[in-house]
Amino acid sequence: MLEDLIRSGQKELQVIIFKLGSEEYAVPINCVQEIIMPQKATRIPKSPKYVEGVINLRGNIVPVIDGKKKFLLKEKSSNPLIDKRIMVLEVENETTGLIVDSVNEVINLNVSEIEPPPIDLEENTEIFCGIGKYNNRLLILINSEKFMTIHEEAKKIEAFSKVTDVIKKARAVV
Amino acid sequence: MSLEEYLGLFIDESKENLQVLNGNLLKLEKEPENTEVLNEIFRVAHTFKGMAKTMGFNYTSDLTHNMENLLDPLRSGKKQATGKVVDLLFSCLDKLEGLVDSIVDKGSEHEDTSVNELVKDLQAAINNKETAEPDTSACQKLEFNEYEQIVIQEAISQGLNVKEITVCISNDCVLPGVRSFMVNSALENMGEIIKYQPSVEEIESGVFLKTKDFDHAVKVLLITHEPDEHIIDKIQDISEIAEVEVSDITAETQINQKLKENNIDTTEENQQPEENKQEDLQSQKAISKVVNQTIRVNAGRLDKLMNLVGELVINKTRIFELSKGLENITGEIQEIVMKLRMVQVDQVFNRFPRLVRDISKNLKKEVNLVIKGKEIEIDRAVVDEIGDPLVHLIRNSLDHGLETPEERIRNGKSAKGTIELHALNEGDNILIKVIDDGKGIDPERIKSKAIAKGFITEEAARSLDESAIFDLVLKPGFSTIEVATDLSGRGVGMDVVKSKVSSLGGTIDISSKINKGTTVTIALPSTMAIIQALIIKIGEEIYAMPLNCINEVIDITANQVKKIQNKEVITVREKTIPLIRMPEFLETPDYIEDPEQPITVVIVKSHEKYLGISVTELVGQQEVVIKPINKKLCSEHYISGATTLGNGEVALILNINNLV
Repeated sequence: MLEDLIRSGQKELQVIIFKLGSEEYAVPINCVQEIIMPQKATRIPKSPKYVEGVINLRGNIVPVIDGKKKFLLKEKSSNPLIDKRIMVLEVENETTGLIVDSVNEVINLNVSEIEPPPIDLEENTEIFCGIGKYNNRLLILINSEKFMTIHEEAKKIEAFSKVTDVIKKARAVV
Repeated sequence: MSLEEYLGLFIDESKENLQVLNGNLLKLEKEPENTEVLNEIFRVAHTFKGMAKTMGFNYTSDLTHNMENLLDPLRSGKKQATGKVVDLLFSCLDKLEGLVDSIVDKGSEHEDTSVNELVKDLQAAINNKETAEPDTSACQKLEFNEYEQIVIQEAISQGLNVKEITVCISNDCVLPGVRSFMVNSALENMGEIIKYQPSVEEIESGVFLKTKDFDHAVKVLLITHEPDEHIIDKIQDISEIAEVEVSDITAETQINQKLKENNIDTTEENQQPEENKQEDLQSQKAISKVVNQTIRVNAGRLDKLMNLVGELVINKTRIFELSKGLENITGEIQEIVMKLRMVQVDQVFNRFPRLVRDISKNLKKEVNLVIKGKEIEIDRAVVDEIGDPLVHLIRNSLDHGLETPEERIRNGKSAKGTIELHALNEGDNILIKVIDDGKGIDPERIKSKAIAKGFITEEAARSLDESAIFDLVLKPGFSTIEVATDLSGRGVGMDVVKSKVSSLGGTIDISSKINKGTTVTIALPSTMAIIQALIIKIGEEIYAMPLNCINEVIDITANQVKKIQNKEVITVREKTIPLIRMPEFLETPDYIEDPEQPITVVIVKSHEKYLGISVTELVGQQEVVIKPINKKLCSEHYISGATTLGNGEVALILNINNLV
């Protein structure tokens, strides 16, 4: 995805910044359909743990997954509960809700300021586009297409927490 | 509008055209002389060519162009649609399908050199035929009608000569009509003219036979005593006559002619009723065409409308008390929208004649495919999904069910097997039956196979009744055929059919008699979108159950629950029914049924089997709109969909067929 971006000659990428735990993440704005207040979801029996359930979005049934549970992020959010949101993402014609701790802002990220993921993740780089630098902040740029798949190998999730760790260290240095 | 925007239209129409082409080619194979069919095929090829050209699909337009070239002489009767030609057309159809598929996938044709080969074949077929064909336009032979034949025969039997005389009038003759008239009167004096071609009227209006070298020629059939030379001399006397040819019509040519005529007669006779039928069909078609005027509806918009109606239905339940009028309106809207979703099963069925033709040719079996109930309507969602399972069943019937012609004759059956595809309404359900009159399934063989594969123990096998035995066939990995053929027998399949059918909320049932045949019945709900449902509470969670599979609801006390083989059962009217404790089964959080408390049990029925489901509370009966739910979320298929309730909450719909 990053290569595609560079190849297309696009200079800026508009992204939405959201928080899971203490880290800041970013997704391209064109895959976010809307951001809604959290609502009670109907539990689906025998579904994966990170699936919160399904909600009624104007007559459409939309599954909702918990971002922190999915990526095994144990840490508590630094944001108050009232900041919690459901980001409704539309990826490859499937609409899925993602519970995040807060949705912060929309920014224009310079494509030249995006770097590939810092560590060797073997084949598992697909969840990430890279790390975006913005006013001394490090944003983990997410490839929404791969990110929202309901089933995938644990490896990718591991890779995800690895990246999160590396970022944290990097930030400590900064 | 750019071409891109036309692409959808092109694909839709192409698919329709391919279906028409398929149907007509099958017809053509049966009645190669039918010009109606040929015209229709020609028309389709032509439309195709036009559309493909506009869209810039060169392979497609090239192919259809050459098809047109081949079809044109067929249509005008200059050529016969032989089996070879039909086969060639069929392979064109396959190629077209391939091209259209690639257009669907990629928006463009794939590079395909085999198209060129096919085009070459087509061209070869066109040229071959044209050279083999006698040059009919040059000089037709005289043809005799029945009366003339009798006269000729009479004449020959009385020892008279019958001569066919061809007279060519030179090209620079100004009044060929006059000359031909002079020929006529000259010949009249020498004997009796049976036939004069062209007729006097035709000559008056300037119509003549044409030969290679001459524009004005006449043929005369003459009964005479005169020798050939005499006739030729007499005619040569007339000025501006360029050539005269005389040949004898003997008894032999006569017989040949007669035979030919007879042949034509019989085929004509055969065709007669068919033609009538055709005409009937035609008129029927004309009528149905008017009725069936269709509008292509954007599926997305339709779904949106569905959603709105869904919400409306929900609101209806809420304000039902306030306004009865609203119910009428919503009822009507609902009906219209439901009907919008319905399509005729024809859409699925019409691909089978071709399939059966191809497979039966391949297997060297003779098959008669009977299709009944084409007009039955079924939900759009079902139509898209049911095709593949049916293909599988038909393949099974052809491959394993029907015997070879020799075998059939040995068993005292007609050489030609029959496969019947039958759609019918039964209550709220639609049944689709695939019936063959083949060798049937041997329950003993299934039993031993099942034991060998470890599906059941020998002991259990003995107690199984017939229908339970046939159900074994539906188990994953089961196949009684030892050698996997190209078509089927790999032991995948029947279970796939079953899972597909149950994902559509239907059931499948097999019955079979040895040497009599096998019937597979698929029962499907006629509509997928709105159903009557029983709303129940399990713990604090609300679920919906389709009403059509609920048998009854009973209250039982704790001591009525017995245990058999460590499984809970209840006895209702002498029937022992397994019981599922739903809170436990669905892992409902914070709720565990107290085994000592009386419970409410909903008895459901599926596949002729009963199951008791314990529920916490009955909420009520309601129409619900089924909405699809991401299948990956409910991996075990106990949930068939979701619906929204009056308060905006989502309730899941239990898939009873997969619970039982």
